[in-house]
Amino acid sequence: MTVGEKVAAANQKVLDIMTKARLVWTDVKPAIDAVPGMEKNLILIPGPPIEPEDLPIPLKTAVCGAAIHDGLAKTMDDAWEMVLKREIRIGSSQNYNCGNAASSVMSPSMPVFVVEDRTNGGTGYCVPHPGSNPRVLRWGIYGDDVEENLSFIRGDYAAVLGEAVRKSGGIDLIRILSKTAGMGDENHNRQPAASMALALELVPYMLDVDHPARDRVIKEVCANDRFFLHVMMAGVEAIMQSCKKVPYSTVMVGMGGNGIEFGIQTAGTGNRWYTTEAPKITGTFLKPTTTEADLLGYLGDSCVTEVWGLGGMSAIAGPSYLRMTGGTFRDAQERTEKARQVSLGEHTFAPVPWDDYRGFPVGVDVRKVVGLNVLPISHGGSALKTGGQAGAGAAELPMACFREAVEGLVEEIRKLEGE
Amino acid sequence: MRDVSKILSLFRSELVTVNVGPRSFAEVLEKQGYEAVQVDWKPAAGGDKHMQELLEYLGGWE
Amino acid sequence: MPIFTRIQKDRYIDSLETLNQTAVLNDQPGIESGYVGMATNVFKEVIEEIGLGTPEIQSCTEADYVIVAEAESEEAFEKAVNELTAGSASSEETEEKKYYSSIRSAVIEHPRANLCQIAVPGEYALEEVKKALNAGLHCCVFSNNVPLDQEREMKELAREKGLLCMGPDCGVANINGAALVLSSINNRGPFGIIGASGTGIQHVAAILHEAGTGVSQTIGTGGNDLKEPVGGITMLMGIDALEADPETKFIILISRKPADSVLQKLLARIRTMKKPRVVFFMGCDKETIEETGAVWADNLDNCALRALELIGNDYSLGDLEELKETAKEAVKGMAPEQKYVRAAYTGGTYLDEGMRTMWEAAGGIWSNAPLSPEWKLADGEASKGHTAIDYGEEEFTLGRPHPAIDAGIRRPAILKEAADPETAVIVLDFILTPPGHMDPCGFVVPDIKKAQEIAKERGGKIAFVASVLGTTADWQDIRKQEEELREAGVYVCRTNYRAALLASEIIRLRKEAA
Repeated sequence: MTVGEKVAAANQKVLDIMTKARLVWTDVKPAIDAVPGMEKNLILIPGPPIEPEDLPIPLKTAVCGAAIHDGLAKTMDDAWEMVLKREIRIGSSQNYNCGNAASSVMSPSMPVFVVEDRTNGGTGYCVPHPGSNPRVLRWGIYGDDVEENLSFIRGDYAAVLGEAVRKSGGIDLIRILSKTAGMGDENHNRQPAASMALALELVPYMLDVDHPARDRVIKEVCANDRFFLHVMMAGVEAIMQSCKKVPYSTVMVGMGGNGIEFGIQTAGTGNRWYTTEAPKITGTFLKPTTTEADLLGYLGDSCVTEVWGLGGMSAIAGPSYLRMTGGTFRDAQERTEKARQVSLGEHTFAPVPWDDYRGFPVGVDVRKVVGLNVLPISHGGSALKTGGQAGAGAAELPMACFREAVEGLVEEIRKLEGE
Repeated sequence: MRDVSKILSLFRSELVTVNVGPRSFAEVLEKQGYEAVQVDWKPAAGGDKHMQELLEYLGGWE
Repeated sequence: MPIFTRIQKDRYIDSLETLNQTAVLNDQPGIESGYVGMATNVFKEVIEEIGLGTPEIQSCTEADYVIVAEAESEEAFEKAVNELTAGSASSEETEEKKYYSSIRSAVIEHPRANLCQIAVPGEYALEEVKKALNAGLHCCVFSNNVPLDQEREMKELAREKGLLCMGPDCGVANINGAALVLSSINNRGPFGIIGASGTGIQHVAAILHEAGTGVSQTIGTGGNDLKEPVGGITMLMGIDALEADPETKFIILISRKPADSVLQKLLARIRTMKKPRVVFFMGCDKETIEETGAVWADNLDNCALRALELIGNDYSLGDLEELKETAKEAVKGMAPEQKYVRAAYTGGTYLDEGMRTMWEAAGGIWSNAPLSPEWKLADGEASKGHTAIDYGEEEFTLGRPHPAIDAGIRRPAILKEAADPETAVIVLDFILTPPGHMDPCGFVVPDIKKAQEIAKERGGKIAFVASVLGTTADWQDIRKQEEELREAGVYVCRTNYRAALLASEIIRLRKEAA
């Protein structure tokens, strides 16, 4: 077989993994018990690896806040001291089959959603979405009120949710995506339909849980129309675990930003990152006084949804998101069309009625991106340099990452070929 | 004589042209009443020879 | 600046819309900063924080829709508010055409595609042709400057797949009635043409059209097909195809003289052809051609006329006497020093034909692409003596389209040549094709008139001689184009060959006069 044939076969294998995955949300457990490789002094952060000295303010705040939340430090200053001394380590989430949206971080005691890929055998993890309150660790903010909410999530919230999910025998995420096809979610920045459909399946089991905080948890879950995002991210990570075991494949299997750098991963080189300066998200701002100069570069792993064909890849499925961020229906079509040009296949479970009942493009081939010189687009919320959400919009994925990935893949394959 | 069945089949079929080049070439075919499909050609990898070689090693992208 | 508010009680607008409206509001002239939303607690906090809070808004409930802005005047605010509502009503209705990024993606969505027209820089042609052939498409390749070994590679692949590969450097082909690349639009009829010269094919096809008949298919092979390394692959496949095509009753082959080994191969194939055929291989003697059972032709006009004879059509392009009469009239009023021909062609085939025709009368012609090297004009060198310039050469077209499309390439020629008091006759050719200039003759009329004024001031007169290659079916309409030239005093000839004959007569008369 030629290298080209081996690459083609490997890519087909990855595409099969991606399109045939059966994702089931099975549990909610503390990260230390659930995530392989998690350690008591390890805090997972979004994006490619970064030295603590280089962390942007929101991530620094989130890491230190999480350290206090986990009892690793008493004050923010102590926590930072420990981080700088590497007594508290930071790690790149996607290297642990985890995703952290925006400025979210995952500390050992935090509860995580456990999602299994029943077809291919991987498992992925993500902390719960904290709801619509703008003051959250997820946007790089920490204080007494934030700690109170984190403690609630770690305690009553995780207990009730975990028991309900276990009672249900597992919630099928593919079924939820299928049921909500054509309901306007693009499933990265907009997922009210999927969140509702998920609640519809979950609430009956939650009602069976005997716990004093049961009703409060039900209210929290049902009031959060972005709840599904973090479950989905765990699901994507479950799939990517299997994809990363396929040598020779040139398919993108990971991406995210830490505010400073943005990076991607490919199946054929597993957890190796290809990074460049993080692009800024353009779109709308929550406050009219915000300017582009206030923006941090791309922050978060929520774009793993794009890795699996959601968000910007399936922009046409959620055209309202474009309206909100200053685009048109035509722009949404163009985004999905661009994604199709650089993708290897399409999902079949959620056809979009106004896109000729076509599915979301999935499996970005880095060769196509570089060869065709076409950049896929990711949706995303934007962060302020000082912490807090700036707005929402989209960013073209940087070409430099893809060019580096081509170099890295050739290097790796030459080794495999004994050249 | 060699097999010319594919050429004869072209002569018997409705002409549908894929145009790789200036859009005007496709537009004038349509104006003549023939279906034309436009490919907006760009040099591979933005014309970067080094990337073109690496991509070739990886089997191209189509 | 004052703060203005617009509050609508009990009106719900979703945040999807209000965020967009906020962006639109802040883009309006006269608005310092503004915010739109439902009056939730979060909304109220935000507007307090950014200094837009008012007691009125504080008293609103979550059911109320608020537009608030710091604006330079009430009028500016009102105008901005109107923009918000206008914005939500407008939507782009334009049905946009879809463009593809690769041949493959185009073919996937258009499985009926059967031909690929390729015009990319020569260095990329092989790659694209391979993609097209592998997708099962016949090819028409306009790209030039393709190395011969690459041309051979693409044509061998095409042959292996039984697909037609016209070109590289194929400027003319008519398939199923469609004028591809720079072809004219032609009537259909019983003649199939295969040619290594685009202008040659177009020329013969145009005469057939004019004579009331037409072409079944015309196949351009590209100028290098009959050279040694390529070996005539396309012409040979074309012959096989047209021999088998029931619509084609007669076959016409056109080329410069093929390489010797290729010529032998071709002659062997022509000998076994079953259909009546006319062969014009420039410089091939009559015996060589007639020995194969083909009709021999010695120039393009003759090639078309011999083909017409096969269907009993005695169409005529006019005789030499006619031209001699015209020449006599044309030289009337010329100043004594006027003696030279200056020709400005848009392509190599007509340049060659023109120079060969005028050579004897002129006694040698300078050119950027001369018939023999000692008559070569240096790059950018001005015309001298008798001169013929090909404006289709790279020195003029680098980075620009063909002169048939970009009429501006040849435009400077007319006034430049007219500025020389020794110029007696200016020869021009015009080519009509769908992607070409929509009024190529009308385009030069102002310059022709100006040139005549200049000559008149000098006490002379320049004879303009021209031919238009095209048909009545072309969008530019050959009749209309010829008429525009005639109205400007140009002597319009039926063909380029006849234009060159007329020019020859004119310079002969000028010689005699001197």
